[in-house]
Amino acid sequence: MPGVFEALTYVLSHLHFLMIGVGAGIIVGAIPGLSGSTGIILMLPFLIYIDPSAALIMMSGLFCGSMFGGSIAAILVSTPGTPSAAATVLDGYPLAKKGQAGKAMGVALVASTAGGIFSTLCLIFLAPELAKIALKFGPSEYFALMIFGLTIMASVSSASLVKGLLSGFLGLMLSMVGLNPTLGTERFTFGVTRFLTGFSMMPLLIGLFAISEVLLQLELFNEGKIVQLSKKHKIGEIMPTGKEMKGLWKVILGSSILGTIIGIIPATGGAIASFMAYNEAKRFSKDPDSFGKGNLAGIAAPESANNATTGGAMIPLITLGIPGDVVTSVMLGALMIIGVQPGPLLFTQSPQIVNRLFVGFMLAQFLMLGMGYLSIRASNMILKVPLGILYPIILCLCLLGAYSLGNSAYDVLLALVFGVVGYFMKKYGFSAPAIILALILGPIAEQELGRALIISHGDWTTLVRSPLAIMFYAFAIMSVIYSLGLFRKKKSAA
Amino acid sequence: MGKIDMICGLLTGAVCVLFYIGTLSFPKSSIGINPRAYPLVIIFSALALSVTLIVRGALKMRSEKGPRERTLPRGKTAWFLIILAAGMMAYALSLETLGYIIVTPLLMALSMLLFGERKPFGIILTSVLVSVVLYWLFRSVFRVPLPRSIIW
Repeated sequence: MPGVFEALTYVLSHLHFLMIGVGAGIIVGAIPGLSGSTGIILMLPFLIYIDPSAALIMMSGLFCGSMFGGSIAAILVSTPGTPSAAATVLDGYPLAKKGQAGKAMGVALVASTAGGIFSTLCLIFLAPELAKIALKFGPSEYFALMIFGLTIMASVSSASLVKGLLSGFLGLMLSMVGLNPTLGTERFTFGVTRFLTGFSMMPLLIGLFAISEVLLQLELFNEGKIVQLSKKHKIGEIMPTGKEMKGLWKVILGSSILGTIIGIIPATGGAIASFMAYNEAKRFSKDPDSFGKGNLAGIAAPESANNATTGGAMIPLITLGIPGDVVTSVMLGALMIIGVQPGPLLFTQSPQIVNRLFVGFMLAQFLMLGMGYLSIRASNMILKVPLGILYPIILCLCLLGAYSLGNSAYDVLLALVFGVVGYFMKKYGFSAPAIILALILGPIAEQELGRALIISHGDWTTLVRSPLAIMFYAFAIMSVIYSLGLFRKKKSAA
Repeated sequence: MGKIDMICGLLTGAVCVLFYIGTLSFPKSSIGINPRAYPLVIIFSALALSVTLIVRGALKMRSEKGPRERTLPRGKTAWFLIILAAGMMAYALSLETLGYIIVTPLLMALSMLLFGERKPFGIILTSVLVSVVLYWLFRSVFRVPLPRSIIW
């Protein structure tokens, strides 16, 4: 209990960081083309100079805020700000056309908050239990867990399984540049002294995610595929009435449970959860024909589900060090840059960080309710932000971020090179998150493999002797089969 | 898209070959795992996927009928992308010589122009203001020694 009080005092004294996180999350979520992952990367130059706990709660606030923010553009202009808000378009936009955009966004806000609170409670109660189990892992179990984590890269890729896997393997190859973790000998440096320390995470993240996005947006802007929004939308009444909420609470609760479960499962994420919740809400509705025409339940279901994935996705991230989706992959990279190593040891070595995260995550939901209300009022202004100023500022922040960690122009150059590579990767269906995931998990997998083989005197069967390790290999196989099914489904739908 | 897949497969395949050559100079070790084993598994897996991509691209090219889909930006858009990439390259190379406060407004103004901003006063004011605010924030608050030149 004293730990909780300490965490509460800490979060309250650092509330401004949480507010900036939530506010920035809502804004990046609302602007189509930007997302939670881009938001975290843009914040990185600032995060490295503040206390790791404050940085962690700021990122959590941004993660939650961006999920709700996505619904603003989805409802007002029928363009989801983030992929997770795609299902919200179905009923949100018809309501906006009827002049009830404020009501649609209000329902999205209340449902998002409820989903977030539910998943935070699950995070608080489940994460410590899972961490206790994970503390018993040895090198062979860790190796199996990393293999499972690496199979996620197949699913986080969007266009093609082959390209997704290839991106992941290229990431693994990049992670080998530098020194052998067991022997300390030089490898794949090709005579370049700078390669001895390997590729640092910061320029890679900035290049692959943010600079590439600026280049892509420049292309879309010049080809007229994105236009500067200038139309003012009628907002109207915002908060749902008690009677409306009475009809929605079952949908919100059911979708929150579904969203949390989906969030816990690696390689799923908000987009899948929101569509599943929407379909379930429609299936159980007394009036399924009204879905797609502006039914409030059609907004409440996807919004509570996608926000519920946030707490769910944090469970494997902080207990096992395995990210569940693109945003948590970027968050994992960011955590390592600020010096926080997620995993079961975090619970024993730095329990105060975990407690502060729990308290911060819960407070973020309530802050989202207040700041979300203000952002709905200002939604016309957020969507009208001039692209000709926004993207140049993003570019300058990116280059400054790349420079600031190592105070080196080499890192700026590296970010630029990976920015161009990332642009082509996004354009031709390769997966930048798979590269990041491989860069993070690859070295851990190799290190644990080395440790396991040293302990067993080179006996490879040690890798499959533990039931837990076998379970992770089974999960890995299931993850690949799931991805294959998903890609086949996508192919047949196209 | 078939041609692009083939080119991507060839490029990634070449990277795999380069990494394979890199493994040939690895020292031998009797501790734990052979230092070549793990890298070779990764390299050959990536090579197999590259070959799959090349084959798939070739098959796609054979089945593609009618006018080919445009895969690379052309005309003004292509030039704008090249100009921005060149501008960023020049930024990275001149940052430590000319100093942050000189090169950042220039890059910002260039990118604002490319993103369609046309008001000269607005461009100058925004680019200088943003650069100065970021410079002050990082130098004074975060104590990051941003590069300075003789002029600034």
